[in-house]
Amino acid sequence: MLSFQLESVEKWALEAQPLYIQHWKELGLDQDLEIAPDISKMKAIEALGMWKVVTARFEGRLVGYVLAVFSPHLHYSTSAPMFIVDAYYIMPEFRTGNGAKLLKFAESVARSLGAIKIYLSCKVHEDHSALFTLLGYRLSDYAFIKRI
Amino acid sequence: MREKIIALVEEETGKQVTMESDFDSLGMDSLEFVDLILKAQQLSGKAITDAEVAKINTVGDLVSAVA
Repeated sequence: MLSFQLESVEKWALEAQPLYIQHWKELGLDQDLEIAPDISKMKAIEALGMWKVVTARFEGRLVGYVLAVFSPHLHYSTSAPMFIVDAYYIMPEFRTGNGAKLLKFAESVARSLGAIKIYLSCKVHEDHSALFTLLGYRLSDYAFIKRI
Repeated sequence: MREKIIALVEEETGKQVTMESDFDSLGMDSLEFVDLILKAQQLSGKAITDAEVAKINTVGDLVSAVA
């Protein structure tokens, strides 16, 4: 049985390295770039109340996470905060409905913090749009990238 | 409602289940799990909150959530 919780960058970072390496190997598009999350910067943004970490744990062990920017949108600075998901991951052996639970829990956290909107995306080669739609999200943007 | 939810889970998973059956062992993915939750809500007429969904681990938990 998994537990889901909001926790600090510090606690997440203690166990996160093997997961985000696995995450990057599975989904990262730039395998030639070193994966090196800037934990110090995450902590600094967290101290401003603008970075949230939601985790999934199995018997206390980190098995998944949602990382998100939490802030009023730069285009809507007078409006309530938005929850802009930077990354989410759940270990393959726990993909038995737990990914959806993690996203549902993150949504409940976002709502309880006062967010009025969630931004969530997925890779084209790992398309979760059917799940997102079922969870109540609507397609709003196509994103493009280009190595220069 | 208990019997209806058990029948729904059996129909969706193709497996015989009990109140103690754990969704982790029923071979569902997230899409199937969310679909099941939505159908259970429709069947019962009761909404399940996001926080409640995160705590549904067994068929019994789902029955309780829509009771």
